[in-house]
Amino acid sequence: MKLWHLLHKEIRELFNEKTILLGVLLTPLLIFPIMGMAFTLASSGGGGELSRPTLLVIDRDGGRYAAILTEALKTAGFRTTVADHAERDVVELIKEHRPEAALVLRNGFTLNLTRGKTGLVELYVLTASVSMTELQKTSTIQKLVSDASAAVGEALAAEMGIAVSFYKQPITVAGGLVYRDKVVASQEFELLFQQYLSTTLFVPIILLMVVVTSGTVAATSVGLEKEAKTLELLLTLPISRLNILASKLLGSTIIALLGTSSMMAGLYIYFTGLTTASGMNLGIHLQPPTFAFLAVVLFVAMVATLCLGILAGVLSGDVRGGQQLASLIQIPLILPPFFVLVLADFSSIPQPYSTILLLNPFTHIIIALQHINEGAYASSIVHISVMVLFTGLVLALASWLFRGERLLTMRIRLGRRSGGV
Amino acid sequence: MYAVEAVGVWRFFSKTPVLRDVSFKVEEGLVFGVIGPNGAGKTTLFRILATLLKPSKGAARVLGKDVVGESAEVRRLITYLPEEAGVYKHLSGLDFLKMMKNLYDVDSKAVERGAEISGLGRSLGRKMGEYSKGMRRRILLASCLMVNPRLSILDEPTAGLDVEHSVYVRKTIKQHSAHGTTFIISSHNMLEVQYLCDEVALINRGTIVEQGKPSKLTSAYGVQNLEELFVKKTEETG
Ligand SMILES: Nc1ncnc2c1ncn2[C@@H]1O[C@H](COP(=O)(O)OP(=O)(O)OP(=O)(O)O)[C@@H](O)[C@H]1O
Ligand SMILES: [Mg+2]
Repeated sequence: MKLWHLLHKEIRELFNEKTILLGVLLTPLLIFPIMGMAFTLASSGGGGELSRPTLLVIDRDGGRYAAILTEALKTAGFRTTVADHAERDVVELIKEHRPEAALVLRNGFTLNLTRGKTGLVELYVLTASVSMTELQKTSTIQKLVSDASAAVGEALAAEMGIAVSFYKQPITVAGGLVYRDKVVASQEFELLFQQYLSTTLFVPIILLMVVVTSGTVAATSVGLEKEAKTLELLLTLPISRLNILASKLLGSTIIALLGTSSMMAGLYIYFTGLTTASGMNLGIHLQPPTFAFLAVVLFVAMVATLCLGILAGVLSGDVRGGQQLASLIQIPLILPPFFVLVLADFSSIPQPYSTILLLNPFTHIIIALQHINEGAYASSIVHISVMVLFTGLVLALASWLFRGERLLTMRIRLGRRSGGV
Repeated sequence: MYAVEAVGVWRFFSKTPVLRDVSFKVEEGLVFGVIGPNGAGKTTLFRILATLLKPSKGAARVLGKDVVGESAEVRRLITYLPEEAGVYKHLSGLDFLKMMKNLYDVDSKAVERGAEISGLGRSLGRKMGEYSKGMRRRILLASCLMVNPRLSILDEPTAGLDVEHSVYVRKTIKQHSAHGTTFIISSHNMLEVQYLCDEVALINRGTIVEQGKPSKLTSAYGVQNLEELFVKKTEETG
């Protein structure tokens, strides 16, 4: 088969193309682990220090309950310092002690509490910047203060002989969740949720990646021929245009699959880092029929975007133009159904929007995925068929573009770029 | 049967006629030269013969096959060296020759012949992306000649080549012509045309204004060489 001789060249050229090497093969492998690392760094910024923040207690009350609160703050987890000259200006005191937070116990704090009124304190948190870490620090400090407040409440209740924990939580809730007409215990539901995450979220994410990558790669494979001025030679070779198209589709598929594996490897590194920290298990568990259906869906979606990518390549003048046009075509097609349907159930979308969504072939892909996930294979077939039909159409369009002289003479302008053979 | 037969070929780009009623015949085994000023329509004509573009009106046949209706058959019989051809940057010269040998489905000696025609020696192992303009031209030309096509369409084959290699290429074309390959070439080098071509067509503003054997043409017009004829005719018709 002459196709194989072209395929070799196709893969060589694509694999060595810088934009592909960087954008499709290397970046995804690095981006997720780097994202994960950055996330971990941000969330653990300051690390162990944060778990015991320093607190300056400015006691202007001096009463019994002030002492109890100070003790409770220490128990809650603060490293406390009690200011000597409590009457001095708060900012001055903070300047002097440099704590992470300061708590002013107002005069009359104890008196209020003994009279059954709430005691008033002022909390000041020192912030160096507006960032995730600082936000987290603030909420930690607030939580510790409220823990201490609860402890004071318990002390008060004990003095009056009240079983505070009973009053706080007088009712115990039992029961479970009803899912697909069955009562499910919450632990079981957690498992279901994990499955939901793996199939309804991750499979579409992977799909999205395959689709976007393969489109870009296909656009590049045509763009490369134009940029290197090899197209005229290619089109006069004794090989049918359909075979040329097939070699481009096949070559792009191979590179796109390599790119997807690289992304999945990156994602895997990212999620194992994330899940081992939270103790969750996000392994993808799939039954054989589910797997087969998913493979079909993935394949159909990929062929469709490969053809869209070819289309973009044919219409533009070079690699960069092709890649830009490919994303211009794909992103509005793929992103809306993806986000809407990952977040919501299709049946819950109101009328005009749901019809508009259904006009987009990629909506059917995501609905099919949801049906497959629920084991409703029969109804998924309808949506898969719609996609197959669409794929057939773009495939026909791509082969039409490859016939005759269109590949050489068709051009659209993107920005400043102008065409011309 | 003629190697090339064009009958009333017109070609428009949008509304502009680039070829106007072009008719000519090329007998098999000849080296046929197409000369003319920049923008005359030589490359457009070659693209039509190579099945890349369709004639807007009229018909062209290559070795009896219609370039539109039987384009696949035509492509099996010809090789085409485009005017501004590039190379696959990440293939080595040798890989490229092997690919062409496989695609044209010719004997395994073809790669050896190609290597010799290219004269690239050890550089054949290098990636073509590293080749100079002349080296690229030589590897492409080698691939066109090594498969021994019935017709080879060469658009300015020696453009960008140094003197030594131009001479070498001309000799190679002569040799292949002696072995039965028909050539249709364009060139701006009148010495080259005079040396190589059995017949020439002068094309100006999309029409053939003169055609014949170089020696007959020059004597008929009482000029010293093709260059003088070229200038005289293009001034007359321009
Ligand atoms: N794809 C195209 N779109 C529009 N006009 C074109 C196209 N290709 C060629 N032309 C026009 O057709 C005319 C003939 O071009 P062509 O390339 O055939 O000339 P040529 O004889 O090969 O010239 P040169 O000696 O410079 O190579 C030119 O005026 C050119 O502008
Ligand atoms: Mg030209």
